[in-house]
Amino acid sequence: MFFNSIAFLLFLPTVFFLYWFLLKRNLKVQNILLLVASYFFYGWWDYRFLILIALSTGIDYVVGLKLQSETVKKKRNYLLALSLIFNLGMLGFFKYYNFFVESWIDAWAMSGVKMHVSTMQIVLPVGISFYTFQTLSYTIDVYRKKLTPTKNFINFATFVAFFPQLVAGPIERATNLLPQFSVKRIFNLERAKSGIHLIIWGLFKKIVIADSCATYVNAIFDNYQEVNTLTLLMGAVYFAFQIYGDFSGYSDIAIGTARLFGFELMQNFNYPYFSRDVAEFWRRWHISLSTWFRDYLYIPLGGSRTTKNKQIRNVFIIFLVSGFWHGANWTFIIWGALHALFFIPLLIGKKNRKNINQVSENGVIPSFREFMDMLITFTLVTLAWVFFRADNSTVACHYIKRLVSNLNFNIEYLSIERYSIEILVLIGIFILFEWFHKHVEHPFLGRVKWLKIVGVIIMILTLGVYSNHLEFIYFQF
Amino acid sequence: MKQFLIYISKVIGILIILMYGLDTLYSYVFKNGIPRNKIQKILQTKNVHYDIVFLGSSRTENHIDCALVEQLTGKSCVNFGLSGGSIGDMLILLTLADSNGVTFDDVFLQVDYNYNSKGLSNNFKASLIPFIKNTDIKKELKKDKQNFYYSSIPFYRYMKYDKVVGFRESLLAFLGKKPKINLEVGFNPKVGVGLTKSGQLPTIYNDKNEEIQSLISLMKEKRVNLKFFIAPYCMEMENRNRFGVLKSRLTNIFNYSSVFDYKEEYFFNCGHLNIDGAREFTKILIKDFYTFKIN
Repeated sequence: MFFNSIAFLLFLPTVFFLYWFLLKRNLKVQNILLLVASYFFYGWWDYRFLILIALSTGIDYVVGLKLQSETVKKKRNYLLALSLIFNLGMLGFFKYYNFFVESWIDAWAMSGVKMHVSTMQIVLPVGISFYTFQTLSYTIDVYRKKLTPTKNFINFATFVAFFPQLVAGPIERATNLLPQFSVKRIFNLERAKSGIHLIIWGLFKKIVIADSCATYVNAIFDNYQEVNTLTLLMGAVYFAFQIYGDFSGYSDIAIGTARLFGFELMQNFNYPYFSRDVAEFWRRWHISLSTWFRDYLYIPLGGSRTTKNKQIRNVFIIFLVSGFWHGANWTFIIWGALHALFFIPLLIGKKNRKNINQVSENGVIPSFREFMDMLITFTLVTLAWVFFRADNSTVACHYIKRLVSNLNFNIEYLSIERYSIEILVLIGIFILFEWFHKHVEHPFLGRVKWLKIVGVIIMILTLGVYSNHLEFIYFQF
Repeated sequence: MKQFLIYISKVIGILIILMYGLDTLYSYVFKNGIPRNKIQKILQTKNVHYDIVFLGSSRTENHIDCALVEQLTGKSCVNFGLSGGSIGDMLILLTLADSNGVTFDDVFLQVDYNYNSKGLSNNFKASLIPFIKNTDIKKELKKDKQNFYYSSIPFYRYMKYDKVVGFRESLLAFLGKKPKINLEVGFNPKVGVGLTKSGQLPTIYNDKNEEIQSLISLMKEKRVNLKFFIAPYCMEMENRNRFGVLKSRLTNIFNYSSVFDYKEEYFFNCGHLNIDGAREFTKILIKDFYTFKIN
């Protein structure tokens, strides 16, 4: 079920009504309702894959309890390995099997050996990378004795499958989300209102910004060999806003929906395109994933408390793994490698923690220096997005080559019967809207709150893309 | 909770008011703004006579230069061909034109693989959306029950078909910006010579096309000469030879599918001529039916 679907429009109020009106006196029954609703939400897409979530839940629940009672280190290691092998094995099979087989064949083909190993038609279960990482964090935290495992199976199962964030995050930590299932929920008006505001803002980002950009991005990337530099530039910029609107929009809806049920999820985006360097960008983009990698990969590898060479190695590993997490394609790995290359000079120059605060914290207009830093960072990030979006690395290289060599800046009329720069005005308005609200999580605050709500609803109705229903990009990961 | 429900009611209330308001605004703009597509043009055209009318899909819209026809024959001509248009679309189009008092002497309908299709095309349905209250249009759209009831929700219809009747189109209509096609003649040529030419036509044709039968009856009733034609395809198009079947279905069909064999320079792609090919084809077709005013 998608957040931007009619089905969800009926599903959400139904669950809300049952949750707060019929079952509000019984916490356990409320949690059972959330669990059933979550499985229904996921099963709406494909009920067969519910078995994977159930298996992952069952194994990690048992492993968690065993880890607590087990004192022998070797046995604890085995238990952790069991969870890792099952979860990563499942992820590896569904997401990476064909990639490894094809890469293996390609590698032999380069040395002249033709191999005939068949690949399989494997359907990638939606959200597998998200819930796998979420449940893994639980087992690792229990193993590290940072978390006491829960004995309540319903709570644990609901934590794994909690529908607002099940298919595209934020990837929650058990330390944050799991305890919330044990506390009696009291309806909070302000929290619920902010949930509604986040849902409206998230829908705006998805339906208006991301989907409008997608129309142009598809037309430009599909015909990249025939368009000029200006159009290619626009294509890359539009994709930067498409993926931001799409993913941060989803996160806003997820956080907003969770709030309607009395839950607080972690922030996943914090105005990343106002970052002044790539290190800051990664503190603001997909925060739940970057902190996951920091806590469960970077720090165990030695983090920044090791030699410079090892720090550089660790940065490369974390970005390559991050790229690979997104999908079984060399484009994602190159995307990760590019970010590592952008990050390493900051690490060597000890500037990776230079920009911790929010840009222009005390002023409305950024300084020239701040503006240039943001522009350079955005340019680097956008360059890397070309690899993320392209069908393969050859296409991405040709795209960039043509971008820098064509040097024709005429405004072109695209195959979608639109001029290449038509939605720049919309993006400009969006940037300004975000800039003036960068200290808060959504713009519906202050004296003109209702005016802003009406304005955004009008834009959702009139500028949204409805005829070509587009799924959230991160569902494929 | 009570306060929250009041709050939600306010948001939903605003949404409903906005949807009603926007629906009224869009409908007004499409009815009163300048026509930006052929359907709007027909709905705004009243009591006009055309000597020659061409109907069909993009293979008519891109192929028949009515300005050239007028120049060669001295007869008034309009090309109602619609990109992606079906025979069902053409039937409605003529019905609407007729109910607006538009008359015509000769009608040419392009028939080929579209003989097997049925119903209205999506783009055509979308273009009808602003005029849903028109009795004839309502009757047609009602055939697709589910779609029709959704379309009755205020503004939902404009959202669902945003590509054709969305914000951009309504704004351009409001601003009076003329479309790229000259709607007075309706010719929309393709430019350039295509490199890759291939395609496949069906091998089997239905016994009957009810929409064509309705069109024949309508034209008979109005005493209009109805002729069918098959526009050119490139030589690489498979199953062109199966058009003989259509000849047994429609007696007055004229087959031009191979008229440009070995003339690759006339094709934009295998099913569409470029502007040079279109002008040449227009001349060939017109010469077969009319006397040239000038040579």
